[in-house]
Amino acid sequence: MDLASLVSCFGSSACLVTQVTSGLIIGMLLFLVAAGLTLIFGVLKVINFTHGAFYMLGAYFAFSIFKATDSYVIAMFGAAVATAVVGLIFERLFMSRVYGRNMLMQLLVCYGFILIFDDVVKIIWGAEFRSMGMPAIFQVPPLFIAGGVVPPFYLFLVSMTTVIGVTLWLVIERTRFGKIVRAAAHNPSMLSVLGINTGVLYGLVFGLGGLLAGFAGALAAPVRSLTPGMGFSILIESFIVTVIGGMGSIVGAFIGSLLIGLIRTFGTVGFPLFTDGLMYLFMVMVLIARPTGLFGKEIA
Amino acid sequence: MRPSLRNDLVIGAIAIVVLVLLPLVSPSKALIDFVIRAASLGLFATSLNLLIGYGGMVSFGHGSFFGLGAYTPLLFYTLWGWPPMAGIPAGIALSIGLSLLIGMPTFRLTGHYFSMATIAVAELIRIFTGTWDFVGAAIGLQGPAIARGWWDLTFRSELPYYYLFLAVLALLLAVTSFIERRRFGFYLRAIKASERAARSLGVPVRRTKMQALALSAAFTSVAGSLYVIKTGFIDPDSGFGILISVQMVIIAALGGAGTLYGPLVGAAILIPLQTATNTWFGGGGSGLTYILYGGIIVLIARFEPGGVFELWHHIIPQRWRSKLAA
Amino acid sequence: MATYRRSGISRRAVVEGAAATAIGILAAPMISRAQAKPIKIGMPTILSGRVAQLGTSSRNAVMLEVDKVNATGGLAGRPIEMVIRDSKGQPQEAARVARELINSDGCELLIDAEASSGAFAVHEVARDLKILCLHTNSETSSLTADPKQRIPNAFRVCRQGIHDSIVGGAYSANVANAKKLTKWMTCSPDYAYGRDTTAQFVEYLKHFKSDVEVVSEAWPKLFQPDYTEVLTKILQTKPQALYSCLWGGDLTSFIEQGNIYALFTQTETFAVNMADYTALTVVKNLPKGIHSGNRYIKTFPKTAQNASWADAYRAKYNEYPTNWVWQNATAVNFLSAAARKANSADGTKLADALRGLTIDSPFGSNGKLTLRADDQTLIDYAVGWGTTIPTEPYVPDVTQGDWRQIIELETEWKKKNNYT
Repeated sequence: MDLASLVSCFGSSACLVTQVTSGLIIGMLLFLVAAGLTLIFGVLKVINFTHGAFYMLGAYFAFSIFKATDSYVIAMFGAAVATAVVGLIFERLFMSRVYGRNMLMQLLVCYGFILIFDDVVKIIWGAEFRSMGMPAIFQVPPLFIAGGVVPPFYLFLVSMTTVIGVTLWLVIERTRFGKIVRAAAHNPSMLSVLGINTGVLYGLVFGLGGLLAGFAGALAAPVRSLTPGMGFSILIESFIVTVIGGMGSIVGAFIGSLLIGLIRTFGTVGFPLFTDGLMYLFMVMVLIARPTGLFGKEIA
Repeated sequence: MRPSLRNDLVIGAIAIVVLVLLPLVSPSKALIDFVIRAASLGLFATSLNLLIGYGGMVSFGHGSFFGLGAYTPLLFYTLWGWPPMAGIPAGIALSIGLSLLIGMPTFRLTGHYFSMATIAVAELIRIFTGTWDFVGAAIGLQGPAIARGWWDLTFRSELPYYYLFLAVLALLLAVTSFIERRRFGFYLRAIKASERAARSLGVPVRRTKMQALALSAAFTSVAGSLYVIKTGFIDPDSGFGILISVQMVIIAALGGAGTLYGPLVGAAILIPLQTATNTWFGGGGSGLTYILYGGIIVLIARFEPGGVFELWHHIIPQRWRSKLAA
Repeated sequence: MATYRRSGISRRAVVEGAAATAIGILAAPMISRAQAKPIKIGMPTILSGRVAQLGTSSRNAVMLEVDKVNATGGLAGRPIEMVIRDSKGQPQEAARVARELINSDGCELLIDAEASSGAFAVHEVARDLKILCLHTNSETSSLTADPKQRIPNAFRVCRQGIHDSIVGGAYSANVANAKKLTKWMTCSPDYAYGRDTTAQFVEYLKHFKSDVEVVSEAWPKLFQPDYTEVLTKILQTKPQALYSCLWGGDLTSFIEQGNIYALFTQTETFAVNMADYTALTVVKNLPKGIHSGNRYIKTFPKTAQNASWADAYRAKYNEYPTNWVWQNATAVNFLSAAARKANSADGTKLADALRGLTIDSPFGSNGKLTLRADDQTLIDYAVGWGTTIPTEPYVPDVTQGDWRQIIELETEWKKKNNYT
C-alpha cells in the first residue's frame, strides 16, 4: 500500500493528467467490448461468453490486413467488419438454437466455440505471440499536456472510441433500427406480431456486438502482443463492467468502463500489489448497494 | 424427470463392484490413473452440482472452497508438521464459514450477478493469498515429499489413492442421492424452477439456499483436500483460479447438471476427450485438437441440452420399464 | 634387431593383424547385440499452451544432437531413442508422465525439460525410482543447492538463478557507477519467478553498489496485456534506471507500449530476458541501448563454433535457437561424453562419470562446460550482459561475467541459506 504516492499524485497536475488519460485509454477500449456484450444481453437475453474471442479475432484480422495493405485505416475497418460477419454467422447457426435454454447450455456452446476459435487462430497464425507494430504515422514522440505524458496513438484511440460510442448511441436512439432494437429488448413477442423478422434482427444485433469487439481488437493490436487466448482477460473485465453498469445498459457500460479504467490507474499508484483486488471490491460494493448494477436492465 | 431410486442404486451397485475389482483384474496403470482423475474431478463437479444442478445457482467461484480445502492440509503440515490429513476438518470448517459469510449478501443477487459475485470472492481470495507470506504467497506450499507414516497419505503407488477417492465419491453420491429424495431436494428444485413461486408456496427459500451452499462448500473443500494430498503442491492459481472453477461448471453441465451421476459422466468423458484429441493430433497441441474438442461440446449442447447423462437415461429406463411391465 | 625387417609384410604385422581379426570376430557378436538394443530416454516437457515453445525448442535441440550422437554409434554403442511427452505445464502431470516413461515405456534415463515447478515434481520421481535424470530447463537454484533436494542421480544442466543474479548485479552496478544511476525502479511479473528473481537481482546490485535505492515497484500480472497504468506509474516516478524480468510476449508488449511513451529514451533499462531471439525478433521497434542478460545469442561467446552451431540449428528448424535450446543440446553432449568415459550406458555408471565432468562446448565461457561434482550443477557457461541495437545481430557485444566472482558469491549465498 502506498497512500503517500496516491495523495501526492492528486496534488500534482502532471500526475493527474497522465493518470486520468491512461484511465480513459483503458476505459474506452474496455467500453467498446463491454458495450457489445451488454447490447447482446439486453436484446437477446443471452450472455455471450465468446465475446473475448471476437476481440481476439478483431486483433488478428487487423494484424493480417495491416500486413497486406500497410494501411491502418483499412485494417481497422476491415477487421471490424470481418468480426461482425463472424458474429452474425455464429448467431444464426449456433446461438439461435440455445435461446431460452438455461444459461448452462449457452455457456457450453460458447465455451466450445472459445476452444474452436482459439485453435483456428493457432492454426492460421501460429501458437507463438505476434506483434503488429505501431503504424508509421504514430511513431512520434509523446505530447506533454500540463506536464502529463500523452502518446498521440492513445489520443487517436480515445477519439476513435468516442466517435464509435457516439455513433452507437445515435443509432440506438435516433434511427429506426435502433428503435426496433430497443423494442426487442422490452417486448420481443410484439415485434414478430408487427411483422419484423426477429431472426435477422437478432443476427444483426450480434453482428453489431461483433463489430464493436472487432474495432476494439483492431485498436488494441498495435500495442499488444497477439496470442491465442488473448480474449480471456478482457472478457472478465467486460463482465465486471457490465455487472457494475447493469446488464443491458450501454450508458452503464460506459460509466462502468471509465470507473474501472480510473481504478486501475490510480490503484496501481496507491495499491501496487492489490490493483485487481480493487476492481473486484468495487464491484462487490456496487452489488451490495444496487443488486442489479448502477443502471439496471434498460437498454441505453 | 423423476429420479428413480432403484435405477440409481442399481447403477451405483454395478459401478462399485466393477471399480473395486478393476485393479485386481486389469493392472493397467493408465486405467487406474484415469479413474482417479475422473473421481477427483467428479468429486468437485458433483459438489458443485448440489448448488447448480439442483438449486439453479450457477457459481463460478467454487474455487474459493476448493482452495481453502487445498491450503489447510499443507498449511498444517508446513507450520506444525502435522499430517496433511489433519487439515481437512479445518478446511471444511473454513469453507462452511465462508459460505455463510458470502451467502447472506449474494443471495440477494440474481442470475448473472450472483455468478459474477462468486467470481469476485474467489479472485479476491486468490489475490490476497498471493500476497500473504504466511501461506506461501505466490510460491505456494508443498507437502511431504516422503511419507513419515501411513497417515501422511503420501503413497508411492496409485492404488491407495484410487480407493480413497472412490470411497469419498461414493459418500458424496450417497448424500446427494439422499437429498434428492427428501424435502430439502424438492425445495431446491422448486427454487430452481421459480424462486418467487417457491416462496409463495411456503418454501423457506433463504434457509434452503444457505444450506445448499454450505453443503456444497463442505464437499468442495474435501475435493480440494484430496487433490492436494495427492499432488503435494498448491499455489494461488491452482487452488483458487477461475479456470478450474469454470471447468467444473462445464463438466457438470456437459454430463448433466441436476442428475446424480451426470457430473461424473461429464468428468469421465472430458478427460479422455482432452487426452485423445491431444494424442490424435500430435503432442504438440497443434492442429485440430481443440476444434474437435470444442466441436464435440457444442454438439452435445445442441442435441442433448440435458447433458450426456440424459442420453443414457433415455435409453435405459425405457428398456427396463418395458421389462418390468412384461 | 633390424633383421626382422624384410620386404613385404613383416611378421609382427601379421601377428598383430591376426590378433586384431581374432578380437574383431570375438567382439562382433557383442557389438551387434548392443546395436540391436537402443537406449530409450524419456523427456517430459511442455508442448502445449502458452509456453509451448519451451518444449518444442528443447525437443528440436535434443533431436539435433541425438542425430549426431547416433551417427557416431550412440551411447556406448547403443543408439538413442527419445520418447518425448507433453505435461501441459502442470507439475502433477509432469510427475505422472515421468513415471509412465520409466514404468510403461521402458525408458532408462530422463532428460527433464520441464520448467521449475514441473522439475521439482520430476525430481521426486527420479529420487523414488533411482533413475538418472538431467534437468535442463529449471533455473531455481534450490533444486541443486539445497542438500535436502540433492540426489546422486540428478544433475542440473542449465543456468541457475543465483548465477544470473550475481552477474546481473555486477554488470548493472558497473553501468550504474559510470552513469550515476542511484534511483531505481522494478517492474516484474507477479509470481514466484518474478518475485524471486527481482529480489535477488536487487540484493546483488546493492552488494556491488551500496547507494542504490529502489524507490518504487510495479507488479503486473503474468500475461497481462495492458501495461498502461504500469507505464504511467514509471513515468511519474521518473527513475534513472528500471529493472524488469518480464519475458516473452509480456516483454514484447511492454516494450511496444513503452515505446509510445518514449520510456526508453528517458530511463536506462535493464531487462534481463531481452536478449532472447523470440523477443528480439518479434518486437517491431526494438529500442537501442536496453541492457540485457544473454538467454541465447549467436554472438556470445564470440566464436566461430557458436555462430556455426546457431546457423546449423536455424537451417534445420527455420527458427532461432532459444535459451532452452543450448541447455538441452548440452545435456545430450554431456551424456555422450559420459558414456565414452564410462564405456557404458548404465545410469549409475553414467552418473559417476558425469560428476565433475568437463566437456568442450561452444556454449562455455572459455570453450568448456563443467558439471560441478559437489552439487551436480552446470558451471562455466557463457553468461553475461550487453546492450541492444534495433537490427541484427541485436546484441553485438556481451560482457562475460567473472566466474571466480560468481562462485565466490555463490558460496557465500549458500552459507547464508544453510545450504552447505
